[in-house]
Amino acid sequence: MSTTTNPTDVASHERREFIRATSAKSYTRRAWTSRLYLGALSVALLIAFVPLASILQNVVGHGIHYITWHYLTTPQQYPSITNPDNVGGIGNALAGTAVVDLGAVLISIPVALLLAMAMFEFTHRWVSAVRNAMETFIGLPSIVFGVFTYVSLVQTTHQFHAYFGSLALCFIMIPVMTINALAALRSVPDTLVEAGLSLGSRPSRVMLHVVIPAAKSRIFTGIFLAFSRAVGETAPILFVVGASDLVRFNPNAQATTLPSLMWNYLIGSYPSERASCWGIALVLMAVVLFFNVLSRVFIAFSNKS
Amino acid sequence: MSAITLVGLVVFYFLFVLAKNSIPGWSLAGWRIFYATGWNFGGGNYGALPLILGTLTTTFFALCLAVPVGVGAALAIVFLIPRRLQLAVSSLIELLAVVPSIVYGVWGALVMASLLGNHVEPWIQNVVHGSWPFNGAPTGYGLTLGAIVLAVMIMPIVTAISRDVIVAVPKELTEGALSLGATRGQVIRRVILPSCKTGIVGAVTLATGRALGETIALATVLGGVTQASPLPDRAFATGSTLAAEIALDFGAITGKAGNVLYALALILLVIVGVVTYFARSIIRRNQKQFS
Amino acid sequence: MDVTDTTVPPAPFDTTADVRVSVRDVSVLFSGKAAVRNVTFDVHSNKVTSLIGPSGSGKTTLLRAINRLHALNHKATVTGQILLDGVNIEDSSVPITVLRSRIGMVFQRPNPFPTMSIYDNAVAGLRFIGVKDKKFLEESAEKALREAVLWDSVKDRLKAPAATLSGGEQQRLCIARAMAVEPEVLLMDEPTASLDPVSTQQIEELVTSLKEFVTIIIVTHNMQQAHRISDNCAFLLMAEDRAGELIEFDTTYKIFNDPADSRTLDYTLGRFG
Repeated sequence: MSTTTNPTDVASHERREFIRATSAKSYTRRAWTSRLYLGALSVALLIAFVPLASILQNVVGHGIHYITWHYLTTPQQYPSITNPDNVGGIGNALAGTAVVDLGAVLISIPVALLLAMAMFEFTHRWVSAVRNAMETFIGLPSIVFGVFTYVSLVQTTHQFHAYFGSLALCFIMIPVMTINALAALRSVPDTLVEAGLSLGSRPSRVMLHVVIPAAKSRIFTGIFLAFSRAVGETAPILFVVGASDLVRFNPNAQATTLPSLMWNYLIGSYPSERASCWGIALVLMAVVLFFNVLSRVFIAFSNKS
Repeated sequence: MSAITLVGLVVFYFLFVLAKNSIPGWSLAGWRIFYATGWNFGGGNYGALPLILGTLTTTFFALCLAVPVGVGAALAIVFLIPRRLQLAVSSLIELLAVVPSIVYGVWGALVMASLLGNHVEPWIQNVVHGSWPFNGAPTGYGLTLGAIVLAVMIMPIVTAISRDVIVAVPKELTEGALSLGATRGQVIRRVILPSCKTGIVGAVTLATGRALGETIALATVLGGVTQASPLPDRAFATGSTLAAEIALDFGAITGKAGNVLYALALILLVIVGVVTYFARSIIRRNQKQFS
Repeated sequence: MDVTDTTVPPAPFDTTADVRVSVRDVSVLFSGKAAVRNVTFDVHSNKVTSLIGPSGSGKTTLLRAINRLHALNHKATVTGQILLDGVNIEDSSVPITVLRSRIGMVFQRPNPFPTMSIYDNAVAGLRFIGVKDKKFLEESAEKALREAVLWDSVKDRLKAPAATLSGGEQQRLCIARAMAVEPEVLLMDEPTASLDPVSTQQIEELVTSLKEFVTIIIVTHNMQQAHRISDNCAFLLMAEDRAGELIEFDTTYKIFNDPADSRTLDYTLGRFG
């Protein structure tokens, strides 16, 4: 570093000229580099859309032919060598999905709410530990939950039940619902809470009659998010619910769900079965998208209030 | 309070059960499980090295594809798309995250496999005259298809989180750089991106965790460890990952052999845990630098 | 500089001085609604010109038009002409990045690049332009940091992250960063608004010493500050339709001691803020 530079040096004029000259000379190169870079970014964005377009186009394009009332309500059939196109419908899978997933929702909502309320009330270091555990659970490969449920329930009882699947799905649903519910409770303004308390209500019980209604929208968001995620899950329920080709709504019986049916068809050997997957995929995506959009609508509701 | 204790108990029981049940599996497979090749569940060969390698390679290449595209798309959304359209465009990309893995499996197996196997892979092989790593007969299925499907699945995670991080950079930094005479490209490369490093690492971590554990989509497109393709040593190789293999072989779970699968699940959990731990510590170290 | 200094004879407005920046009938509109309307005045070389007025009078909006910062905003339109040394800044023969390196800007809150060191911040502008000569960069950094009266504090820790500096030091770093590309004009948008009184005073002294090298246009909320450091003064006021208008432009002495417009007098006497 030179230590003899004098700020008021006449050479300052030369420095300025040098800077101006460099700036003018490099302008074209810099402008083009910038354009190229921004162009590359646009390309990345376009690339990002291609798979989405392909998936949607294929699911809707191939699947729409299958959607008939008959298809949705009659159970699957089994193609054979003499009758290779005898695929039937997906009625059993729809019923099975309803049973397994609704069961999971019914179990998860109270548990999640209780947990959220507990975590909201207490500020123990356990709370952050549990929160960490939940976030870890959300990130775990879902097959692990299937394995666990199999080991603890199926292997011991040597039976398959639809509600086993519901329990397996709880591992995913409860953390999602709890974290959302906790955020919802925390987002209720303190003024509201204090107002409730100052009216003489008992903190625990009655406050929850104030806080929870205020947090309703966000809680629903969590429920719908969890549901839309669980509906699409294959791995946790695959080996614990058995299979069923009857259209019935019995949690105690075995069940086939939309994802498990798709799995079996994909791995199977009949082209008609594999083709039927598009129809199932369309139905599944419609359900998943519906609840996902619903959850976003409720986020918008909660933001407005 | 008791609810929390209950949760804690469940978590411990969870780990305990997995560990306990994998013990017979360990004894059956022995240490071979880590280094031996020739995985053949049906035939009693439990060398899981191809599975471990398969898991790591598919995740790695998926990241190589998804991170540049994801971050690039996020930058494009923030800097090139008009403000009022940004939410719509981001939501559209995040739609990819909502698609269930089984649908990805269907798409991969029924659409991408034939596209790759009949068009793309033979063309590549032609161009390089069959030299490594593009040797061997292309079937469309395999670890490459798996990496591509994984990349599509994790890309929306990278984009969504990167976008949040990019938007959080204060506007004054951009204005300061522009008023010095920087081009927009320079602003993004030299000012915005360096400020986002920590956040992007976080996004990549989450994406990695997701990719390592993906089961269903991969199971349908990987093709399995076969005699023709015992290890992931070339682009068109077929293979399998820990998670996918568990799902595929679970049908044959009875008997001692089944316990090997629990061992695989444990290995998978350890890998995911280690990766997540390291990534979190990197993020924490980066944050300390700035405070 | 004493506010009531009356021993110095009031200098009349020098119409023969070099005009560095000429603002001609400039309006700035956001989505069609004017934020600043029909402003005309000349900025003299190597003098400090301040833009004063209450909040909302469009001072900052006008300032940002001079280095074309509004080009970032799709909804903004700038009409009229702004001339730098007689050349319209919107002239297509002058690339906008080159223009911006001739007109530097310092912002209200110090904004050094947080991931860069002090040295890297100082030479950031030069690097953007494409200067690679290491010796030149080092000399420029030292020169600029000296001009910003920061050199002695930081010369031993040039590689330290810019975030380790205090608020006042960070702002001086931003000034050094702007000065390093040897601009002809320096725009300052309420540069001391977020600083403590001691740093404020240091920056004010700095501004006075800098005008030897650059022409300075400073927006300030603080009229005592304007009185202290500026040579010429433009007073803007928000009209009924919320557009800012230039009420009066003259030497600082005249604006504060004998303004032509009664509204100017009201403002300088503190009758409204």
